[in-house]
Amino acid sequence: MMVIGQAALFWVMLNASGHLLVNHGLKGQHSKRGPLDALNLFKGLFLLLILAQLIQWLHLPDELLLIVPISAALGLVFGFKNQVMQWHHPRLWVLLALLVLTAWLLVFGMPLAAWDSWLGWEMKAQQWLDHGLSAHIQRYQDWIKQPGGWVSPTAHYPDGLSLLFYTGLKWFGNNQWFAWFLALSYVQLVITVINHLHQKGLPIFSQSLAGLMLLTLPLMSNHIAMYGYADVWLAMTLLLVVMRGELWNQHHLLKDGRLALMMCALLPAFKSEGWVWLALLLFSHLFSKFLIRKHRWVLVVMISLVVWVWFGLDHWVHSWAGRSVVISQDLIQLGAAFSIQLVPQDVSSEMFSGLFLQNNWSLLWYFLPAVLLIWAWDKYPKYMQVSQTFLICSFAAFVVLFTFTDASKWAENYTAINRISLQLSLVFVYLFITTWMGPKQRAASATP
Amino acid sequence: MEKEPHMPDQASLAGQNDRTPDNLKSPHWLGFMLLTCVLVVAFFCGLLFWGAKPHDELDVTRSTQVQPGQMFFTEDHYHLSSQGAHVAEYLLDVSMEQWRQFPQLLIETEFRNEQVWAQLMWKHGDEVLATAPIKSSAVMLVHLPKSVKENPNDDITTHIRFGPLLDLGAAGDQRDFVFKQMRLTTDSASIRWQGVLGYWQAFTPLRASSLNYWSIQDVTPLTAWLLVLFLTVWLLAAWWLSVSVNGLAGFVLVMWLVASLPWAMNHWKNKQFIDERFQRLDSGINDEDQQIILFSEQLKSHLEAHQMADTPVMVALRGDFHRSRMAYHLHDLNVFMLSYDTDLDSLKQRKSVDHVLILTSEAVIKGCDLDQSRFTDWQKGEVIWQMAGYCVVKR
Repeated sequence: MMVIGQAALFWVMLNASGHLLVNHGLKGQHSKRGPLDALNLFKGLFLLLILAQLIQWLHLPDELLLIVPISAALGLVFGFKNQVMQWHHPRLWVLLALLVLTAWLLVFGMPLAAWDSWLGWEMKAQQWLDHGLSAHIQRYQDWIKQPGGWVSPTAHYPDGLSLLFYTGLKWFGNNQWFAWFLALSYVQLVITVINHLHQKGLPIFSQSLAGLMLLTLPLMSNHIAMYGYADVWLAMTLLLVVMRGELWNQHHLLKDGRLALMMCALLPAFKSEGWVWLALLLFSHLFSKFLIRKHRWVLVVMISLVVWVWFGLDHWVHSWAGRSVVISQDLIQLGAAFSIQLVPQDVSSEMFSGLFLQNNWSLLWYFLPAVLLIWAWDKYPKYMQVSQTFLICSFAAFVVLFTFTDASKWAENYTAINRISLQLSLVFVYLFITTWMGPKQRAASATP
Repeated sequence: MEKEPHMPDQASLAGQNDRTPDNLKSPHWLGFMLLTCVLVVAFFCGLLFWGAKPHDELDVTRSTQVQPGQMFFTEDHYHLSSQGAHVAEYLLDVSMEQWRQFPQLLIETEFRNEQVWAQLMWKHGDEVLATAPIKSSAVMLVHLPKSVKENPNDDITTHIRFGPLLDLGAAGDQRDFVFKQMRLTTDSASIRWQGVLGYWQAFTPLRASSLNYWSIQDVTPLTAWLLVLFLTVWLLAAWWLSVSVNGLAGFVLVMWLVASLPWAMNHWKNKQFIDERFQRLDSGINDEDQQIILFSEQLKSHLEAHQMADTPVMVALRGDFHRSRMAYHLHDLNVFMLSYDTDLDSLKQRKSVDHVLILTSEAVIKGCDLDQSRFTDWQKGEVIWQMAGYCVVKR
């Protein structure tokens, strides 16, 4: 019971400090989101991680982390009063059903932990605890070249998850609470998605389906039960970015933009892939803004062109004014401006297995062809196009990464493929529900 | 009343107001329901009959090459004994000609292999051509891999390999591979149906690593393609016919629940499995972990007493669990994993230390006798501490 209490305490603390940050620290239109909105939690997470990183970089005393519980206390005093959940009865039933399902599927199976998490994220947190948050932690190959310092196999990884472990270790003296904290956070995210879909006007069946899908993705469920992986946090943050970005594109409220930016800043805090998703989000935004009406066809043509050039051209070289443009199976070069060596590998069977055969994602990725075709034919509001374009681009990047780069060697044991699809899967659940049940379907529902 | 900051668009509002299945009266719905029925029937027909061959089979239950005592019969099951080995391997007496004629091996097991991992391995000489996992299920189908099927060599051998599952470092009581019957079969409709049943009953234990957490139950590529085709046509038809959201979502919800059943059952069995084997202890994960904690605490005390707490400690243990858990519990030392090609002299010179400590075990060096070590570099050191099967080498 002690660890459940510790998890609940940490969870309330982050929510309360995040709530204070959103509604009082930032100017803007007053939020009507309730205290169960996962954005509050991630705002608190943002505050905690920024503070911890500042302590690391500026060699400040570790005690400055107490700012978080102080802001949480202020948030509890000023933030949550008069916040009452006013939900319709059917949604309450959906919520209760989901909570029971979560308890059954996730929470009661908690004793497992992951050995590579002990060696990575948790050990780094222990090292900070032993030698200070500003301790010089390096990889072996760097450590051996310099005097002093400490060795960690995850020294070059972003510190986000380790900092969470560190905070818990410092305050509670153990890591067991983290499993419950992750489960609580994930359920909060599911509730946020359901709430968001309700605001978008999707009916109760769609909300229930989204909740069910999010809670019964086999690999996601296993990663939550194991609790030691940053991919889950990256996936949750990415989904919040997509949902908040959609709201900002719809209403252009400055507050939504700031919240989306804050969530964007969290992406690289958990894993290096966060930078890639961030770059693709920016690209998708610009792409959708510039190509207003026909952008999805331009995207389809572009991807088809890349595929056609790849398979159609063996080794094409054009030289002009001392510069060469090369398009071949192992090199793409645009004069001196851009050059990339490619290592093409056929990893299609591994990708097919990871997404379809191994029952990692239930039926989720089986919906992909239909969603792509419907996306290409139906007309969606402008604000939805950004996140849809993001999913297309990120999936294309996923395929390119494993097919044309050295990353293919990680595809052999399915590790990397499953990790990347884990990061994208929550966004795909959300976009599946909103894209498939797009304007045409909802118009049909409106017809008596 | 204060205005909501995010008002839904008109289409959304329209959809929101429609919460009843009134649209079921729409003529589109009748056509759509009919199409759904046709697609479901087409899916199952494709699954069972597309490219299927006439049924034929060859019993290979007793075709394993064993010495006396390695295979025995209890009640109605055969046991292949591991004889205490970490990995046991037996040759299956099946020629490539037979494999090409009957490209599937059907194993009946009745859920008795939950504590062992097992696989089929195809070898050409010493070269491993392919492996295929044998999961625990009442009926398990193993398909001949394409690479083996297309290999022109006729002297390819087939082996059954198995060993105890080491969850969180601990093995269960059962170590033998148990089966009722093994048959080579053609890819017939009846065998495909057996495969469907096997998929629903299969059990895969969870293991404590991200690498081992997937592959709960595999489906065949044919099933995957048919399912993709089914869902694509079905969803496109729904979109094309402008079928309303409510009914569609309900259909997908039911479909999703059905698809999640095997996984949920697997999850439930794993919970029971974990509860039985890993009663959570106060300060560790299990008994193995307790021993590691005890040893690490005593090692730290020993090093502090001998003013060696700053000496780098390199962990060289066998098994992911023991390696990572030991390093985790020794976190306040300068600890890291030893790679066997590490140049220890160069390490000492670069870090300006007189000694490094290698933490290893009797599983790596028999009896902690450095002369028995296959790592010649370690033989320059001396064993300074030995306890509970672990040894600390000062080098």
